[in-house]
Amino acid sequence: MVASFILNTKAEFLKSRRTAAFWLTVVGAAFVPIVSSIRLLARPDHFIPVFKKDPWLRIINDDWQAGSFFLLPMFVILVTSLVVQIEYKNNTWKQVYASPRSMADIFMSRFIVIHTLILLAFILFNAFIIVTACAVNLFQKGYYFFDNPVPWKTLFALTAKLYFSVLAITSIQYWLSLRFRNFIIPVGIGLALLITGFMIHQWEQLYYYPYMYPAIFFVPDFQKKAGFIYNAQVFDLIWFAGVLLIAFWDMATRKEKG
Amino acid sequence: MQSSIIETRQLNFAFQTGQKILDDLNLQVPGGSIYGFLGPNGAGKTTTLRLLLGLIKKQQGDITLFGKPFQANRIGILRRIGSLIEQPSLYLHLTGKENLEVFRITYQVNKSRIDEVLQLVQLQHAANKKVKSYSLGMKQRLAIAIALLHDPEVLILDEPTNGLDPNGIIETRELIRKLNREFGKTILVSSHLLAEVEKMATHVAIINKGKLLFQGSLQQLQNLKSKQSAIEIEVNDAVKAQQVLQEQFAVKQVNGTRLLLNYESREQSALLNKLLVQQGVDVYQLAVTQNDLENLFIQITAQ
Repeated sequence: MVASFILNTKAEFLKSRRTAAFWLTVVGAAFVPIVSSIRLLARPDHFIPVFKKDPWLRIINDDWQAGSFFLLPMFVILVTSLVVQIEYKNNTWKQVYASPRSMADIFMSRFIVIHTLILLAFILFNAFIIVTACAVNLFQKGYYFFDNPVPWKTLFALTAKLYFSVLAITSIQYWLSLRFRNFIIPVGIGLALLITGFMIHQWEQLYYYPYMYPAIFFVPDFQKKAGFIYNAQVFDLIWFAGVLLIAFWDMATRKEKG
Repeated sequence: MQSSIIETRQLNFAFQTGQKILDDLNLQVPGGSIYGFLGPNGAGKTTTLRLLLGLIKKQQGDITLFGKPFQANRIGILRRIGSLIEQPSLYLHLTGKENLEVFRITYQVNKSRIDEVLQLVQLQHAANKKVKSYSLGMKQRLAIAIALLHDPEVLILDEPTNGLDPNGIIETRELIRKLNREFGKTILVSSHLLAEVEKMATHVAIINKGKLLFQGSLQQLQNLKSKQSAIEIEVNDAVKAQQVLQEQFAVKQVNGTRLLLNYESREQSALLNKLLVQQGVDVYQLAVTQNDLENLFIQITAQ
């Protein structure tokens, strides 16, 4: 049972080879660090003094700030739909369901692929930050990146926090992507919910709202309110587990599969 | 020949609107057979096959495969079945070999099996090309290769020759026969073409509007057909011809210069011709009317 689940997950990984989901992960992760480094190269006169103290913390914070509120949830929305689309686009759901695999296996193996791609995006994003900063320092000797160690611990803690912040979005988007054959629907709903989040960001009970967790966990303002982060963490987990269960039940009991 | 490997009892299925798709369907697919599942488009063939694979939730009736109820033994049963439902479902961005690898991992069979099935469907030359660039015939063959990967006892193929060119149709038919004869597979194959089914099946079921009209061996179907067949003769003088023949044969119908009689045998055809010629009637044409699916339906339902 466990062995076949691991094998089937491996098969799911094989399917995502050379897909849009995979390339989005790589290109998406490179985008912000590259733009950010061009900025540093274009205006060294302005940025060298700014980046004098704690240059790594500064660049990590800058790049993640640009990436976390909007691009990160948007990436999660897109990558989830793209992974599920592999089956819809190729008309292969029926072949998947006619294979000797349990419903839980079919459901979870794909979800693991999605999470692996998200984690890969995090790793690549951080790697691109470091590589591009080093490249900047090679071209512009005035920067201080080489003089300071990379704050690995901070980087890891930040990454873990942001990964945790998208959990709820992953299960909601996974459900939507499984539910609708048309790719535009889950992406459209996700985008609409994300934008709604920005419109209601002053709501005191924003910790109920899953699409704002990346912002809540990243922006210091939210951390000042007592209990706000804790509530958001709890609801993030509730959304994540609750919607995942609903999505599984919905898939397993669907009358027509594939 | 074994007893039934696939069996449905009083299988009913209706859409939410109440429209009936399957009406008390009782199928018995004997082990070792090529079972041609024949019916026009929209008759309920695909629905039946999807029910057999658990792709649609059963509403009423029983489905047993290998003597076991499907629902309670889904995974165990699916392990013994290879299937191809409607258009081939393949990952277009992967190569032929990678497609097989995806399913090979799931079925947990030996790596060497990939080359074996590729050879069986003669796709070795295209194994490393992306499926995107395959022709429909190649895709269909790759889909059959996937269905064969785990060496299943039963193959369920839904219109495997649909959309293929004549060459592709012949190749697929030959492959199906080979799989049955040399490898002993039981094959349930659906089609909307009577001629197609007659060329490969050992057993036939005919379904129309969700109802089973006929089920039996190919021989039984052919007997039924010949019983229902007619012989049509075109002559220069139909009135005289009718007078000549009436003493020995029942003329069913006279239509202009054409006469229609029940077909009995080849000898009867020769005798008819001889009689007419002897009596000075010119025979322009003498033919057994072809029984297409449509005619067959009318005849069976008229019984």
